Amino acid sequence: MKTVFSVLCFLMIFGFSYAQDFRFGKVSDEEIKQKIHPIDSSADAAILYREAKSKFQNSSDGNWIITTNYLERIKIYSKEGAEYANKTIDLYNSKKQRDKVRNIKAFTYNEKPNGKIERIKLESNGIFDEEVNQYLNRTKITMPDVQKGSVIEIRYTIESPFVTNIDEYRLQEKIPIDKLHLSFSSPKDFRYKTHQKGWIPIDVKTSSTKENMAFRVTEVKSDAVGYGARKMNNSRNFNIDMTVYTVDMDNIPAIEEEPYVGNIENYMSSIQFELSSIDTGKGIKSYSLSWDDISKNIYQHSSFGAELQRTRYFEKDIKKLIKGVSDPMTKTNLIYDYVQEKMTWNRYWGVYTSDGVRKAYKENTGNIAEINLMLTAMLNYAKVDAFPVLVSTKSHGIPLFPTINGFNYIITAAKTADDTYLLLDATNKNAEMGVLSSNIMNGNGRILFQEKQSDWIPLNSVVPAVDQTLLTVDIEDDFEISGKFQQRLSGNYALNYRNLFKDLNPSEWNKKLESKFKKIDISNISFGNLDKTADVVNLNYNFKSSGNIEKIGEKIFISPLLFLQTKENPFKAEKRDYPIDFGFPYHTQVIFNFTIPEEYEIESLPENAILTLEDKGGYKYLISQNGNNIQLSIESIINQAVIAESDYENLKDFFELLVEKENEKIVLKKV
Amino acid sequence: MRFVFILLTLLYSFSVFSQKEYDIPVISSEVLKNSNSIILEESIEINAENIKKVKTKTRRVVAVLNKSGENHPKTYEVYNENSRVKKISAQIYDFNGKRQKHYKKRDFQDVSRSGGNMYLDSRMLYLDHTPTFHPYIIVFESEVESGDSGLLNSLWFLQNYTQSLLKSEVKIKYNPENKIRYKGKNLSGYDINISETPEELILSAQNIPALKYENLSPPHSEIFPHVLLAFKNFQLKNVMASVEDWKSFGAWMDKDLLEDTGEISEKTMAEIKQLISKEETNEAKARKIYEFVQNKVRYVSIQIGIGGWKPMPASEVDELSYGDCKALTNYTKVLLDAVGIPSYYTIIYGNRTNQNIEEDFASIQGNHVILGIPDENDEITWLECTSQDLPFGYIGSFTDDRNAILLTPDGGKLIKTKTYHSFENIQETKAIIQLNPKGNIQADFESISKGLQYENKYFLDSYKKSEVHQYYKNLWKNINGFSITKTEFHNNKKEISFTEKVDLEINKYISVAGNNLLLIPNIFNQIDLNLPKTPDRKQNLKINRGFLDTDNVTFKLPSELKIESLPDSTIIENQFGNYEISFTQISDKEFEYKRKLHLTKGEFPPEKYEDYRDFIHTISRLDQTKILLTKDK
Repeated sequence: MKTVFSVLCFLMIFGFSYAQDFRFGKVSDEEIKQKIHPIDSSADAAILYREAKSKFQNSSDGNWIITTNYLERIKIYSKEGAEYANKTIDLYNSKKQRDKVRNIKAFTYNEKPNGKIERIKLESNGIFDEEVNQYLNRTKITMPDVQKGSVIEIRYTIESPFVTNIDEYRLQEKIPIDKLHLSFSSPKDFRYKTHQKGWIPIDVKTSSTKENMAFRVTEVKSDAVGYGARKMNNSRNFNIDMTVYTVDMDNIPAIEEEPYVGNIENYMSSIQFELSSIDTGKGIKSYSLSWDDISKNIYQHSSFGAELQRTRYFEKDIKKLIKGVSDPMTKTNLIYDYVQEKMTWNRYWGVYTSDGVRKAYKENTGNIAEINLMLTAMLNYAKVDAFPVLVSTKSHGIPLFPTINGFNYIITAAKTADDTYLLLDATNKNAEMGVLSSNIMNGNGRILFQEKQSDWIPLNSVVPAVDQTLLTVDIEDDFEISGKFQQRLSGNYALNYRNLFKDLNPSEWNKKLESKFKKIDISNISFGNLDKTADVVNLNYNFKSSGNIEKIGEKIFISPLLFLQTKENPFKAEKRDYPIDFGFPYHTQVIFNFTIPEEYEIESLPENAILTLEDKGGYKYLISQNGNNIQLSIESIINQAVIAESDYENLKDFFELLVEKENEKIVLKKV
Repeated sequence: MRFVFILLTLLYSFSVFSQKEYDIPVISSEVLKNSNSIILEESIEINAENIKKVKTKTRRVVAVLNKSGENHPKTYEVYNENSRVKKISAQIYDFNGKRQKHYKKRDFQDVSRSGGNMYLDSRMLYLDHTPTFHPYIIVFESEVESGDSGLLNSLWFLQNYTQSLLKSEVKIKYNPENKIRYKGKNLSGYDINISETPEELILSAQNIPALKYENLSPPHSEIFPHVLLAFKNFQLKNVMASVEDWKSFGAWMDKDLLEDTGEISEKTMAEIKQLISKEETNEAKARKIYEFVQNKVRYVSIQIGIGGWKPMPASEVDELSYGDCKALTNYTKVLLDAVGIPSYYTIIYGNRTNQNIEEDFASIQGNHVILGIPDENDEITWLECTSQDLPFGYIGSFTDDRNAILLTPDGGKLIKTKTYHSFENIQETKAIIQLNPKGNIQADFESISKGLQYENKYFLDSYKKSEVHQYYKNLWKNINGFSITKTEFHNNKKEISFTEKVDLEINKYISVAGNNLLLIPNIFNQIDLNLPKTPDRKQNLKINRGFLDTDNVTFKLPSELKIESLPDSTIIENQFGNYEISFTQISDKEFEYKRKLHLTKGEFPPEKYEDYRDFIHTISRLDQTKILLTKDK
């Protein structure tokens, strides 16, 4: 008996002294007095507790809304952490409906020098409402009297009418989260699916409950006196079966930024609820269940399918354009060039048209959907099989589940003679047919064959990115290097150069090139095909360079790659958590030709070398001497745009060796 | 009958409008040269007879010649609670003068201007036009009414580099009792006329060629032709002002904008008095108070009230512990006042281009506020009150060496802020390098930074380990792969100096070429600056700040390596400064590399740019000087 009692006692004490109370206002002295984060001592701030409780409710006008109560307790450890004492709440607007924020309440807790705890309330002077634009309102909060060591508590409620489109819940931040509780409660008839992101396991628990909810009902009552029926608005309560999803997590580490990661948000843990169907009582109305459903939904949307069917607005022009042409590839080419030339993208993204293809065509400007749907429709009209492809760009992230909102871009897939697909984006004025910008090449896109059929398609440029450079070099009497630079660029390299140089005044080319390559003087620049996207870009110029040659005593040391030498390893960090994104696969070759000056002979040449990254890429350094001529050829190849983090070590070593190799010198000595 | 008449005039004017599309004027080659856009005609009529309601009517026709000129036309108007945009419209014409597009007020986007600020009570109507052809002509028209006549403080003929102007006329009407003051800036050499009558000021300009941006040139305020303007009597958010010179400007600000912001709680007052009770000198007291403020507050940008000019009351800062530059400066001033230390609220331009407040032209200028504490000799110690970690008296390159306006009890006073001379801005590096036979290096690096160089370093103190490592990997890009084994920092806030000690290991630092081993002794301080050529340069070369770097690096070789020969020393001296490198053999296996670079601030005529470029490129080449080592058999 005695032992039992002491165990109980122990448990009680244990439970009492260690259980933090996360209710609003119950901040403990320990939390306020804590000096550093117990696990991540470098943290500037931490979220001690985050709670988001979402619940369906029937609003006063009879529609469903989702009410979410947020509660957050934040600890500030350093001055740098004080930025977490500012908070921005985004509220979305549509034409008819809007998100609302209510009941903002917040306190800052500080320890005074005498050890007493002070609590300061957030007043209205620390809350700012801002109409950002017609789609977005913002409420910004800045907390009072925030010091090193402060604990902040914020509580607010968001009411959202957008029940089919719920924002993701973030489960990770750039500071640690010690404890997190999320619940999402919806009527059983609303079926939601959950989708997770990030590398931290998320355990979603589901349970059922009944909720007594008030509804506004319109009832028809016949008057007792018999003057007829009367409509009355009443509020009545019903017991509703609810499904509750909950997530509880502890000690979520801070996410850290790394270079060449693309978009860090893609790796941050989060969860999203997707409405899949509603049981209306009379049947199940499906929202989005599969990618084929998505395809169907999108097709059925008046700003997509119907727009794809329209042909009248362009028929006359296209007929004229392809008159007498029968080869499908030639027709594709003509139409792509025509749309690319005629249309200017208005910088709006999206998978639906805004003002419609017809108006866009007339005004020569439109959003992504308008231009590429137009392109698809024209190809189909010209009897080329072409389909729209839904894309989520890199900046938009990878869709977690079949959803229209997971996509923000459309391109066109045109079928070729050998039954493959050529991916086209006519919104990009600088891209050769078959070249996609690196932001679009985000894994797979969804090709929509027809109303009910869709499939994944890899997003790649068909035209390889190749950079071929020829350097012909002379050594002048004063040990300066002069030479001729000739370059041919195709695929994404050509696209990048067009982006950089096409809109520049030719008088500015010099400056741009000289700041790209250091320590050279450039003259006689000529560019070929900056305007003609169908051809490779040619760049020729003469240069003088003083930095890459050195005379020490009787010897001359030359860095043969001159200003093209890779001087630093882009991968410096010891370890890597996320994949490495090169943007696009590439192939570069530099050939360096140079004549040994009179009175000199070779003392030593760098050795030939071949480095390999297995199937992912490779590097070849070949040097040869022919009489008084030295030729060096350097090839470097990366075969895939994205390389997994598990290969990081190899990649880092590869580049380290490459940099080392390119740093080697040709040594000449006096005869 | 009357109805028919109205209808007729309507029809008539309509037909006139539809026929008379835009007629492109003749553009000379001088105006066309270097232009991406041309202001073909501009007419601005400002009626300021009632300073509480200034009406501005703008019509501006801009030819956009290519893509680079697309963002040149100013096709927006800003407004706030005190002003409104009555009319705004834009029309797009092609170069045949045919109208292609007409944007009405409702086609303009209405957006908040807060951006990265917590709050800015200002909004903007802007045109979101996608040009589908070049060149094109845009006709922008607007009518704006504003109560803030004080903000009518300047008029710029060109808005951008690579923009030229054919013709512009600006008329400002005013009450003869309240004439406008004006001052032309950078007008010489241009066809610009200023004429005035008792009721009106007319500025007209013709054929202004485009300016090209040139590297290391003076700030745009010292290059672009513009006219500063100010009314004697003006209004700013319902506050009236009467200003003739900086003295009266300062008096107005002090009285109308600062006066009622100086209350502070008894409690804080007592706390402050307690805090400084043991200090004897004013300086020691002020240090304590500055530290108190730095520990208490944080910077939050909230721009509300008198056009962003009136500080939030000190009592609120006391309570909320945050504020913008005005609020935090005023708060510090109030605390200093409480213990009898005088200090001056100071208006300034905060930027790195040393933009000056115009010396002899009092008007609303500046974008930042700092605090000046005078000593008994009227020498001023400057405090940047928005920073939580800068040392007492340190302002750095954001507000150094430029004109500012002190608000003293005797009114406003123009003063120049602290100039950091090149000999103050020092970085002294000492390093000992141990080589091993494989060409690996172990380095003990130590460096002290002072003056303006302090601001390049002091933040390291609060960086996390991973951030510190990243910092050095970016700083020493010339080293291909190294690992840091130890770092130690000492931030001496009293002396304002920052010491770094870094131990690092570099694998294969020495490059091998046959039997030759090449070593670049300048490991830590290579200049790798690429200055583009600017042929036909028009602007002066301006070096805003000077500095002095010294590096002493000792190399210790293993017995397996020997020095083949050491390079000659080099000394370069010219009007920009001097550069020296030397190599001294200490023993058989030891030598020392010394480098000194002293660059002075100054403004030089345009043709000197090429010399400067040569100098920098020579340094950059000499920084790569290699030492030849061989294997010691």
